[in-house]
Amino acid sequence: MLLLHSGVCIAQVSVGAGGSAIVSLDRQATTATSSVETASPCGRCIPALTPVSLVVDSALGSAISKTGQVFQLHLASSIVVDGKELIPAGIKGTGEVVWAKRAGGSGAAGELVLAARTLDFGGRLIRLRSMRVAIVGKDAIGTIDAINAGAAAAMPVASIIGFAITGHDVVYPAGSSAAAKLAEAFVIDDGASAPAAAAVSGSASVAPPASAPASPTVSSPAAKDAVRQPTTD
Amino acid sequence: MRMPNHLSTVLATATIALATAPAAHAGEKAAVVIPPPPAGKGQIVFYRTGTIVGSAMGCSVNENGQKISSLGSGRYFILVTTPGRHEYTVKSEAKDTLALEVEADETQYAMCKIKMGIMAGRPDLAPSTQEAFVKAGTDRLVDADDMGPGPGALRPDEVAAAVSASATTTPSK
Repeated sequence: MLLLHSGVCIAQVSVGAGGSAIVSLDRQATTATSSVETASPCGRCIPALTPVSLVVDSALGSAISKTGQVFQLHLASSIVVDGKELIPAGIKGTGEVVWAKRAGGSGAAGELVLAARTLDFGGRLIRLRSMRVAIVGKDAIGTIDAINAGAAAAMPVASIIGFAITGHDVVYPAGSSAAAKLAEAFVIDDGASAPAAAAVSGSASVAPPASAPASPTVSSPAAKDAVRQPTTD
Repeated sequence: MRMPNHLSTVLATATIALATAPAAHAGEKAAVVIPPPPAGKGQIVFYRTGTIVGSAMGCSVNENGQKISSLGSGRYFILVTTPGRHEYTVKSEAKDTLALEVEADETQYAMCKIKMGIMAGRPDLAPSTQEAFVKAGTDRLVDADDMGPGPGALRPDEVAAAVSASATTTPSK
């Protein structure tokens, strides 16, 4: 569940942590963030780059998906601002298969690149970005190189076997979780009108003012969905 | 003269080890610093491991039929580009393509491998990760004269300037 401060949009700026041999200085490459407050004109809004947790609703894979294919997903955890649920878990959305290539000969692995596009919040579309699902199956290029090197020393004709060895396809099963971010700030209301969230979540209550004490957060059943990781076959 | 069995085994093992091992140890190298992309832009680090197999093969990265940069064995380059879907191709005896979703202010990684071909090796371009880039130990930028004519590949002096600029604006941790 995401807890955000209300009253102002919190622009999240992160500094990538360096690895042992590389220092990435991305502004938002990791989930380790430091918050910087920026004034916002909206009464209640969810700032751009707010992390969201998604669940993919259908099985995807390098061998079963097509480039350009649209897939369904849903919000795994509600977005809570100042203790008030603004975006409920479970709302539907869409993503797109940016690239799918099945595994091929000579050890080439399957490839799958996904992008989250939108969440549908009562007819209003929340634009998403940064899904960061670009996965590749296990290739067999190293194995073939080893066979070829061995064949060169012993039996050169044996190297032809490498053409018949394929890499592994990658599978992204239904129910897989994925992280993404809001592509732009999403205004729930301007502070004067009734919150749209209430209508969507079925609650008739009006959100308290920003200065009200934070209400207890409600765990989403969807947040407890089993997290499945992509696999290779 | 017939070679003894044990000698041919040793020779084959040594050949395999030489062919598949990275050219150098990653742990002994200086840190590679990837600067952040310019505000509103995204970037992709294209890299290639330093294995001896296929090292003589080129792996030129192209977009829309225009060459962005060569990519020799054990080299990398940083492509700064606009957010959105981009399709890159590498070509030799056969063509391989990879599409990526470039996001503003973020860095992605793509790796080129040389796989087995009939007359020559075939480049294979695949999505990768920062962790895999670190593990590969690739630490040499492509030379400036091997970049272009397509735009976007940061020349070594531009990378140095970007690293220097980000070091002065990024708070230390």
